[in-house]
Amino acid sequence: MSYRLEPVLCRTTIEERIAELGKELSRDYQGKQPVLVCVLRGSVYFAVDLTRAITIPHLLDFISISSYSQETDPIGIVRITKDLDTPIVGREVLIVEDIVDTGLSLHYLIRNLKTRSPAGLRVCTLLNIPARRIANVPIDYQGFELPNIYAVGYGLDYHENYRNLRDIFSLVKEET
Amino acid sequence: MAVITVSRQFGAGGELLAKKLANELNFPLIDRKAIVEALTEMGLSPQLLKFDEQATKGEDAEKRQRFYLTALHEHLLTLADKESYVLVGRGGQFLFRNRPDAFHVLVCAPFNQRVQWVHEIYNLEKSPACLLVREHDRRKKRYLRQVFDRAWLDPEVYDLVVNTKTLTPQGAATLAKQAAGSFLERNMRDSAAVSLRTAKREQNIADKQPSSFMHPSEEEFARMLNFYHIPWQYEPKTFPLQWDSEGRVTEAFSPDFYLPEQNLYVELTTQRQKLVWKKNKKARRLKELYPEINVKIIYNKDYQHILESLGID
Repeated sequence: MSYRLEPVLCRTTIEERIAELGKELSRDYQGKQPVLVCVLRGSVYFAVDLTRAITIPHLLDFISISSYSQETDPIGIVRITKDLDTPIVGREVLIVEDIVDTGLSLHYLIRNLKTRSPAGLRVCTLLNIPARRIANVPIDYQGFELPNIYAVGYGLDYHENYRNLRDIFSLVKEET
Repeated sequence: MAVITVSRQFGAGGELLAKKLANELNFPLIDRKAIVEALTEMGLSPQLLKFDEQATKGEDAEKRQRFYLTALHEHLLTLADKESYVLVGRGGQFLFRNRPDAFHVLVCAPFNQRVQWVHEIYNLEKSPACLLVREHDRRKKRYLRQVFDRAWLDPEVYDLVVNTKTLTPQGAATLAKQAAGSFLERNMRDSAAVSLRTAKREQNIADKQPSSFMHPSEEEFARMLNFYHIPWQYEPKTFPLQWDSEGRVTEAFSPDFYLPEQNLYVELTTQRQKLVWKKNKKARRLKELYPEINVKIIYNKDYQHILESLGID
């Protein structure tokens, strides 16, 4: 099996959209000092650029959750592998995701963070692929809605490859 | 499912009320002992268990407390999806504040009365009893403020507030049982709650019968849903699609999964893309005849995408 990369979003388009999101968030969170929760690892690239586009005081924190693997034992359940360093009780919280497709991990994360009684909890994702959605999750801010493709680049990986690309591509399998 | 939360001022007899309530309703009582047992079984270290209902100071302690609370809250929420229970303390009134199937009781009594009871039960002099009650009140207030940022004696939080001075703990328990009983009855009548309960029950049955899956990909999908705490049922319903002239069903569709929380039927297909037209046709027909049903077909390609995005080939 070989792969080819088809361009989907170039860096300029991504930069422009992030600037718009930054403005929107700065306006909506004026005076609220939100906590931006970056979901490791793919969202780091987006979160960093997004914070640069936000002009109001805010705090950046990181969280990581285990993902499903076939080696998971039959009673395995998702868990937090790196928790926030900041208490979020009574704070405005914005989850920053690189991509929301099935919504399964985000669904868990929202449920988990809600138990910590934040004042508000919203979701900002760079990419949204509603065609693959399984769990209902609210998306408050989105960069781009994409069709059902396998996106790589700008933090998104395929077996840890392509994260470092500045543009976003569709990974297309070529049957040999 | 229903959760009855019992919050109590120290020395007001809340534990006694909760125990009686659990007995009368035949619900398990989730108190400190049950929590310690469950969390220990989950592998939580004894050092973390000391954060139970304790406010903390200092960055390191706060971090460990958050870890403890995440485990505790996850445990209580997951348990509430499976069975009804009576919960004593732990800020249950705030944790379950938005759940329509939760009923919140506050057990209180005037300060002097509680001192009197503590003096009698703990065999303490009046002055240390007074100190103990004051300390516990302060600690509880601080804990609930730190964890939930709420004022715990706000009457609006509760469905029932009982004063055990006049009612006595026994009398308060009888009253609480009546109130909770009528709440549960109303809750039972709620058809949505009933269907959700049925769904959960069927899901539990399905959980226990993984070998009945028609295809390994379905078993894997079920494991993935379990991993992310998404309740599901396996092939719970068959939708007739065509009938012959005598009214016999000649074509039907039984989607592989139903996700009750998402109100979504999911059909997994591992066939090659070229061969899925038949399934697409069925899904279209299903939409025509049952427009209120949400069904999603996950094609082989989509399923591979999902697995690949998780780093699995």
